[in-house]
Amino acid sequence: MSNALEMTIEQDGYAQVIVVFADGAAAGSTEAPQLEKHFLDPAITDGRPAGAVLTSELHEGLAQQAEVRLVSVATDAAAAVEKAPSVRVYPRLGLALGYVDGAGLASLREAPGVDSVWRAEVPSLIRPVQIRLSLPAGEISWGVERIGAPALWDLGYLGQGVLVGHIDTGVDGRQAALAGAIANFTQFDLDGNEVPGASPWDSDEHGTHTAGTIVGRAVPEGRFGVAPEARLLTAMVIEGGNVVARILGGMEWTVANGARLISASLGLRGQGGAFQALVNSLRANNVLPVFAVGNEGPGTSRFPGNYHNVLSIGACDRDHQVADFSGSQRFLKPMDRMVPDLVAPGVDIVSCVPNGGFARMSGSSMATPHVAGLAALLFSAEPSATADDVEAAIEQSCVLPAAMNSARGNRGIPDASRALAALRG
Amino acid sequence: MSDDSPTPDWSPKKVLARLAAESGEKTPVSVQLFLGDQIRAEDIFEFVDKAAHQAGAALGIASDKIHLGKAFKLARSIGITAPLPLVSALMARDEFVDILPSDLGDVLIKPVGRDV
Repeated sequence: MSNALEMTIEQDGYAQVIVVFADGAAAGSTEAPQLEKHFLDPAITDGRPAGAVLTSELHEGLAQQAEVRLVSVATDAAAAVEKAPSVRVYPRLGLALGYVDGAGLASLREAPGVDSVWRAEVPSLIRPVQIRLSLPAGEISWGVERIGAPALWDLGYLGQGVLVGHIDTGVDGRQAALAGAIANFTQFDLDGNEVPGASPWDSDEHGTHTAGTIVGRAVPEGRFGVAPEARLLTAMVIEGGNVVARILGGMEWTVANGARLISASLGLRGQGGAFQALVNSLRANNVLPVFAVGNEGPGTSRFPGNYHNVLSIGACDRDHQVADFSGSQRFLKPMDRMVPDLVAPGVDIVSCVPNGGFARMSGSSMATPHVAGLAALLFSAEPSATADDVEAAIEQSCVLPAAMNSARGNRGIPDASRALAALRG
Repeated sequence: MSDDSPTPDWSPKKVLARLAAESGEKTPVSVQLFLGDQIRAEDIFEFVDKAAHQAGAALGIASDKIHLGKAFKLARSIGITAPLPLVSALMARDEFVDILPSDLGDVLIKPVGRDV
């Protein structure tokens, strides 16, 4: 329970909250009508007609998982507008999500079976417009081509036998491009405990997009997966409540399940040491952390993506320029170094999203899975290679394009063939 | 807990100060504590449980106001919900090296652009 929640309500008049049910109360709390009296109509957040939100603005994954069904509204735009429930209950997570005002918060805290109420920080992604691609069959995405992955495919190295840890918003297990690509999936409750029996789903679309870049299989719409025979260990992280525990739990779960590397497009702005022990443990367990540097531009970075012992990834575009948004920062202490370690394709990246769609996104979040996929290719080529070996090979393979500023792109862009040669050096 | 500055200060001192600014003395705060190498990973829960209740006794905080979360061995970390004075007392000990608020936004790195 945070004071920030009260502050938000004071400022805005309402806030989105996560309700944590007391142990054993979640099952009984799935009766949403009993909870609804505490919550506001979510349409209040945008001044829309009562009960109406645009389908495109709903969290698709959340909507699918919620026990409360969406009810269609009979309007001319019925196909686009649906009535949203005032509260969504997630029995397996033992929580519910909805909007409350001050009075609702007070009554909710006194409601039977409610353990605590948190301010929700549901990811506010800048949602891409979903697009149906009409590329020629078999066309390879520019990012996959740029890092030279097809050259390793031609040698028979497609990531087979490699498990990639994937910490993100989840992954849509029904996506055709990810058929057979998800080795295991988990989600965590607010204390970081694994929720038993979870099946792959995406609480947003970010996770499915990054998953597609790492391990996406060839589909008629294109080839955008760097390591199309590697498989994912996806741990779903939803922001809000005890998000730190869920991140830590997800990382530990991927290690326990045999990940050779972890791809994570998350981190906190600035510098902090809280995740250093975790990263040290990953390295001690021979797991390569491939983390995004952040999207706040020059002179900025996020941790743990700016730690000295992770592979820190920034974003570049088709013209070999570091993307304006891509983070970069030089540190003088305790050693002179800069992040990111390298940059990879992260602008206009096409990959899959939930419900069979495809989207083009930009960000260091899109660059990071390219490098994770490359690492998976190298592990499949040399299964006995260590995380240190693969990291060094990727770094040595980088070429700094003439047009690229090293103060932004550091080593430049990796190349798969050069990396394999370096690994076998 | 929010800090919208480009480079927030995550030192334990500043994190505790921000928590203090947002919470009263009696309002429970939820944080993730990170421990140093002197405590074995397998002993984290037991150690923190004991330390928290010792601090609670010294501060007059009832045991039912202290809730420990799961201990994470690789991260050498554990969550705790308790009044801020108790959390501050723990962070004053050498075994506790870092702290993060549990309630954090802006963790997932959002895409910056879209295109059709």
